[in-house]
Amino acid sequence: MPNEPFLCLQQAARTYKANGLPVTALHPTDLAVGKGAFICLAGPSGSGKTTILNLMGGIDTPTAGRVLINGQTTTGLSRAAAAILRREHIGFVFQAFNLIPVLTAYENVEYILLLKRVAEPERTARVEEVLAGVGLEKVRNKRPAELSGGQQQRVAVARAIVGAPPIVLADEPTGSLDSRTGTKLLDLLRRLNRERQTTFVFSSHDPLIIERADQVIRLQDGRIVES
Amino acid sequence: MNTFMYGRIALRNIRRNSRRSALTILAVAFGLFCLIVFQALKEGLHQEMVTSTVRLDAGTLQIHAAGHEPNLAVLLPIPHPERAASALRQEGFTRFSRRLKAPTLLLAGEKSSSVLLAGVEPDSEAKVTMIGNRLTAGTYLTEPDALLLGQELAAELGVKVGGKVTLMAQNAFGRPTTRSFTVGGLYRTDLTSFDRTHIYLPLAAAQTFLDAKGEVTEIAVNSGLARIDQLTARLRELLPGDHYQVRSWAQVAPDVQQLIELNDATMDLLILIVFAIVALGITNTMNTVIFERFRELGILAAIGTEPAGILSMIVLESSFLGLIAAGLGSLAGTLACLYLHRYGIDLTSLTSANQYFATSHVLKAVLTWPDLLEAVGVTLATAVLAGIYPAWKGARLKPVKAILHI
Repeated sequence: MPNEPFLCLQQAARTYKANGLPVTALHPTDLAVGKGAFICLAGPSGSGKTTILNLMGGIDTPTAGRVLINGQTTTGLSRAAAAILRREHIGFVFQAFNLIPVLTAYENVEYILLLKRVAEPERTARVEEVLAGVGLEKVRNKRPAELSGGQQQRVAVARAIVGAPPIVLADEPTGSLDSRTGTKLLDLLRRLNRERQTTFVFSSHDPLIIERADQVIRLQDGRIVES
Repeated sequence: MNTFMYGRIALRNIRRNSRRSALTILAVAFGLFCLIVFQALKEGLHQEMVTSTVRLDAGTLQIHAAGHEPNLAVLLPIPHPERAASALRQEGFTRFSRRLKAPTLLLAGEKSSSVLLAGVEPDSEAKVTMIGNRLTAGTYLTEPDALLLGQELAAELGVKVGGKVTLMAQNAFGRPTTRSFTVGGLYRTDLTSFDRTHIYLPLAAAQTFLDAKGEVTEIAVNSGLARIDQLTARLRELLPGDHYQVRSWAQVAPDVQQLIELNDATMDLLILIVFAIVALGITNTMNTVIFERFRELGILAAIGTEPAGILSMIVLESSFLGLIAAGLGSLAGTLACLYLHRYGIDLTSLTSANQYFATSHVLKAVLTWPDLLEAVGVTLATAVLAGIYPAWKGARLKPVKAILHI
C-alpha cells in the first residue's frame, strides 16, 4: 500500500460562481495520496471527481484550504511557477482530444522532454522506449488525426509518463474508448504502476477502472462518501 | 532550444488552416505591395520635381550678392565673382555657370512681352541646365549677339530664327537701354510658362547690353544632389555672408521643398492607415486562432508549458505570417516598381502646365533600398506587435477553464 503522501488535500474546497450565485463543487476535503498508489475517484457526474483531479494537478486552486504537491502549496503560485510544478511532478491523461494536432505521435511525446530540456541522445532514447512500451513505434510519425481513439490515448499515456513524473492524473481515460481498447490501456497503466512505482489517480465511473483500482474513493455532491 | 519547437508548431499551425492563413498573408502582402509602389512613385515624383527645378534653371546651388532678392528690378552684381568661382573650384566643383540676369521687355513689331534675360556662358550653362539640349530651331548661342527664345514665345510674337527683336531694360547704372538683336535659336522645355518668360544671350553680349562689363549677378552650380546641405554650409564658410548669399535648390525653390515635405507627411499618414488595417487583420486572425485553440492551449499549459512559451508560440505564428507576407509583398512590389521604373506612367494630360514636370511628363517609380527595407521592417514589426495582444491573452488563460472549454 502507498506510504509517504506525495499529494495532499488539506480542507481543500472549491466554489464556483454560476449566474452570480456560488456553487460548491467540492466541500472542505482531506485526502493524501502516496507513492505507487492506483486510485480511482468514482461517482456520478457533478460529484466532484474532476474538481479534485484539477486541484491535485495544480491546474486549479482551492478557494479554501490548500493542496500540496511534493510539499509545495499550489495556492499563490505564478502561472509560470505553477506550469513548472506541473511539468516536474504531474503527468496528465485527459478524456479525449488532448494531443497537439500538428505534431506527430513521436513529437507529442517528445514535447514534454523538450520542455524539461532533456538533451539528445537521451531524449530520443526515452521517447522511443516509451512509444515501444505503449506499442506505438510503428505509428510514431502519424499525427493524431491519423490515429484511432485507442492509439491517441496511448500517445497521451506515453506523453504523461515520458518525463517520469511521480504521479499521473487521468480524467476519464477510457471515456471515449471501447471496452477492449480500454482494458488494454488499463493493463498498460497497471504495468507501469507496478514496474515504475508511478502513482495513478483516475477520475471515472467506468467499472473497468474501479475493478482494477487499489483504492476507490467515492464522491457525491462534492464530498467523499467512501474511501 | 524550445524556440525551435515553438517555431515548428507555429509553422504547422499556419498550414493547419491554409485558406485563412493564405487570406491573411495576401491581405498583408497587398498592403505592403501598395506601400512599396506608392513610396517608389512618391520618390520618383520627388526626384522629377527636384530634377525639373534644378535642371530647368536653378541648379543645385546658387551664389548671389548679399541682399539679393528674386524680384529685384535693379542689377545687383556679385562682388569679386572670380573669388566665388575660385572657391567653387577649390571645393572641386567644375560644373557651374556665371549669369547676368535682368528683367527685360521684348519687343517684336507691334507685340511685346516681359521676360527675364539671362546672359550665360553657353558651354558652362549646358553643364548646369537642360536648355542647351532643348533646341528646336537655329543654334545654341553660337553667334555673339544672337538671342535664344522659347518656341512658344517666338510663336506668340510671330518671330522666327533670323528675325529681329528689340530688348529694353534698365542698365547697371539704372538707366534705360534699348538694342536690337537677331533671333539665333529657339528652345522648348516641357513647361510653356518658362519658355514664354525666359530668353538667353551670350554673357558678353548681355554685359555689353546692360553696361555691366565683367559683372555677373548669379552663379548656378550643378553639384549633384548628394550632401547638398554640407556643400552649402562649406561654401558659406568660404564666401562670407556680408558679401555673398549661398543657397541650395531647396532655398531657391522653397515651394518644391514644402511640397515634398507635404507629400512625405501624407505618405506617413497613408502608411499609418495601411498598417492599422494590416494590424487589425492579423490581430483578428490571431484572436480567432486563440478562440479556436482555447482547449489546446489549456492542455499545453496544463502539461507544463510556461506562459512565455505559449506567448512565443503565438507571436511566432503571427511573425511567420508577416514574414511570408513580407516576402510576397516585397517581391510583387519590387517587380511592379521595376516595371514602372522602366515604362513609367504617362501624366501628360495632367501635367503639361505643371512646373514640377519641366523635364518629363512620365512619372517613374524609384525604389530605394532604405524605402524597401523600411516598408518590410514596418510590416514585420506590425505582424509581431499585432500578435502580442492575442498571445498575451493566450498565455494568461487558466488551464482549467481552457480544458473545460468545448
